Amino acid sequence: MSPLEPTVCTEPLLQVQNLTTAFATPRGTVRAVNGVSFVLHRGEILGIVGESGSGKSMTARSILRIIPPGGRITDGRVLLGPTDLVALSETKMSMVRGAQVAMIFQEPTAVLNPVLTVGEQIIEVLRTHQSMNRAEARKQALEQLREVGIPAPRERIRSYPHELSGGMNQRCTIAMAIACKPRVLIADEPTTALDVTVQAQILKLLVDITREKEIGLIFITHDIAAVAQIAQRVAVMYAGRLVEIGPTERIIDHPKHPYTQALLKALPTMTTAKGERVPDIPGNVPDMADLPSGCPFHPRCPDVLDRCGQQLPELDTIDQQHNVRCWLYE
Amino acid sequence: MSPSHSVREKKSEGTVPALTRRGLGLGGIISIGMFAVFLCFALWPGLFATHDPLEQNLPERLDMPSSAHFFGTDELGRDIYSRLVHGTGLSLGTSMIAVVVSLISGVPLGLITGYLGGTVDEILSRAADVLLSFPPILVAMTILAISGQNSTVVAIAIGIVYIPPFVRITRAMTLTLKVQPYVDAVRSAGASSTYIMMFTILPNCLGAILVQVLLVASRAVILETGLSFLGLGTPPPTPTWGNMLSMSRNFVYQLPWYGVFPGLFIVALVLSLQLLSAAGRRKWNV
Repeated sequence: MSPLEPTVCTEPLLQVQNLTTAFATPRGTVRAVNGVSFVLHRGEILGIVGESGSGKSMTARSILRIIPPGGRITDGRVLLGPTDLVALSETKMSMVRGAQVAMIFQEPTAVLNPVLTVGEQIIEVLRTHQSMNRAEARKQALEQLREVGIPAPRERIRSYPHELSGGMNQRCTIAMAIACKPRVLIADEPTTALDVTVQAQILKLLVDITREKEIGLIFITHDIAAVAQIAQRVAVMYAGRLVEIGPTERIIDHPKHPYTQALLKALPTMTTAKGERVPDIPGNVPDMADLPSGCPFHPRCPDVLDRCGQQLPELDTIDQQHNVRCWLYE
Repeated sequence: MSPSHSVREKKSEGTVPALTRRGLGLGGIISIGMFAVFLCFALWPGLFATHDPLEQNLPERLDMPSSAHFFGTDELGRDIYSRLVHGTGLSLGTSMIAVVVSLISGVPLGLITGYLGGTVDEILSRAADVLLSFPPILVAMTILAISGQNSTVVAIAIGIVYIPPFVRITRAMTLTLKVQPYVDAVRSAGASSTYIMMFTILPNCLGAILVQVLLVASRAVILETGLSFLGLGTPPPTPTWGNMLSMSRNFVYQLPWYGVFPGLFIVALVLSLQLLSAAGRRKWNV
């Protein structure tokens, strides 16, 4: 599963511009997503990596506008073609969800309704967005299940989620997500709850779907290894902001931001000796309600400069679409 | 499903297959039997009654139970057993209509208040609390006093009294269900709020609602007989259990059984519904 040759078209599919999502908490406003901008092209896989609480899931939810209570998008635009999703009415937005932009979640078994068969759930998605009668929808659902590699789909279509394994359920949720042929697919840690062999199968399935259907895939994970395998571009998030974004090989081989460098060093490699400690990142993830001044990473940064604590650097281009938010490269 | 469920299964490991479906239990089976008898009485009273419930026979008035009159006769010589059998339909029918009324208004209100939250929830939940704070019989009496007295009005009045329990249980279930990942998932697939309430959350509440239906049905029987006892139910000469119980008070020293039999019918029907609801609660873990 080598990084596929970019079938990337230059035409941007989804443009996220300065997206900001804030939560009102008793301790003040928390910007879970803080001025995030990126572009997703057709047939492209964009990986978003970051620690828990870095705002990567909330970015995905903000694109689809399924933000938990208390939070709202305070700034920015999400352009799908010419349409700004942030400005759409709730009714229009619900027609976009599933049909234009679909999402896959982390816990496949919890994401499926326990009282309905997986077939019914796929059929319902189809009938929500397309004028189909039950028989047509059922036929289409069978086709979808076959497409995501579920053996014996005729039997499985009548199964309840608890009767299937986590991997099978994740295939079903993928079938649901791609049932209406969305242009953008967002996968929020789709492999985290699965065991390693199944993870590899699901990753391959996602790559195949992206390539065949020429959709754009946003792949959110904390697993850099998985991102390195499938993504063409990687975005790194820290404390609600993008700190680095660029082509996968540039990020993996020549990370610029000290946070990205630290993340990559923390991975065990083939040459790591048994019992040897992998370097960790000193300090803790910052308190989102009380972020450090300047660059939020500066208290943990090994290469900290004087100005880091005073002023937040911009996300600047250093070369070939490789952008870094760090004073080291000014 | 629940922790207690799995623990109990582990104890019986080896002898009983671990995944046996839990039955209704003895109480459940007995209560189904009792309820079935009442249902037959209600559906085909003519088949089970020995006399015309309205036929007066003054020479034989206030007779002891005998082979001709199983439960004796009342002050107008009418057969008590036949009148009780004919009264079943009214009690059961009234309670069923009442349950339908409270179900179709309470469940949607519970879904809406639980799902939307905020001001809507505050207003409707407080309204339900207000209704709940009055004794049921008082609310029913007030409604009857305003809108006059016939069996349909009685049923609707009882139904209105029991809206709050349905609002509360559906709201409580909705609150826990709406944060489930599968609700987020169907929303991300483009489901509307109405769709989520009706097809994602509601099916997951059905067990709890069914248990509540049986419980409310039993309370509705008590309330209906209570209203008839006070003379506020369906007016005579239609035989009602509450009415008969009320009349029997005049003869309690001479003919104690006159009151015992209507009492037994009421207890048996209420008990069967309550046991059924308890069995359902165990079976569906709600």
